[in-house]
Amino acid sequence: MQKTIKVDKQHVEKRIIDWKKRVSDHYSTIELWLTGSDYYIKRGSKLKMYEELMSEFNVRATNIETADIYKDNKIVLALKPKGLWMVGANGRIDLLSTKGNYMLVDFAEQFESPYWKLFNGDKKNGVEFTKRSFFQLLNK
Amino acid sequence: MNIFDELGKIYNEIDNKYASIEVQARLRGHHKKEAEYSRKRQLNDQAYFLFMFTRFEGRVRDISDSLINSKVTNLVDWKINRAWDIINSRYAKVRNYIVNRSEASIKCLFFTKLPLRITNSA
Repeated sequence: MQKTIKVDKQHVEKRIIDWKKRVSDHYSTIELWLTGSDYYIKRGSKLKMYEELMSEFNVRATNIETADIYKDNKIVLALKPKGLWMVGANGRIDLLSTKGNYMLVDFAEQFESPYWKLFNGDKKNGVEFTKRSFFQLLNK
Repeated sequence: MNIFDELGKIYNEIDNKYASIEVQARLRGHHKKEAEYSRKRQLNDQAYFLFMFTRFEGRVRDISDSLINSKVTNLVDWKINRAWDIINSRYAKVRNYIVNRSEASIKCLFFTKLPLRITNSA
């Protein structure tokens, strides 16, 4: 039986903490994947996060980390968390590059281990986000 | 190409165009411009979602209308027919609320009136 979740200020705050952790862990995973390659990741400027549920439950705006992937001291890919409360997903991170735009969508249930899928520009046919799919994207 | 494919194609074209400018602004360190294009993409997301949702809402409305009408018209046993009559009048109130709400949202967003079909009044 599906459990009922009470949405209140505490719940919203808990989900924001979880989202920030998932994003940060994700950057750490990428950092690990890039070790020994020509690329490196640098956590960049912070983005303001203030979504509708936060406003509804009087939760203060907060900041969330972005990250950039560099090659030869030039940014080749920017990772920008787009939002936590997405229809049918548990958060989305946009991947922007000069060669094309992609998005990472977490299909896991709330507070569960993330299951990231990578979508290309037409937002269809997502593939599991793995070291291999990530390097395929970088080497395009 | 059906309307959903067409809308999806236009949405993607706009999103990719702005995303490309957004990343260029980030590379150059133009943070204000980057935020501006990010905001435009967000509005495009919302407009697309609303557009698709109103289409979906319209489809649900049409199917339920046709089901209720067929039950009201074709059922001869008055005991069963009466139940469908009650649904019909209650449903019309709820449905018109939804239609009016959607129409108001669309007007705000696009500053234009879309042809929404309203058949019954509450």
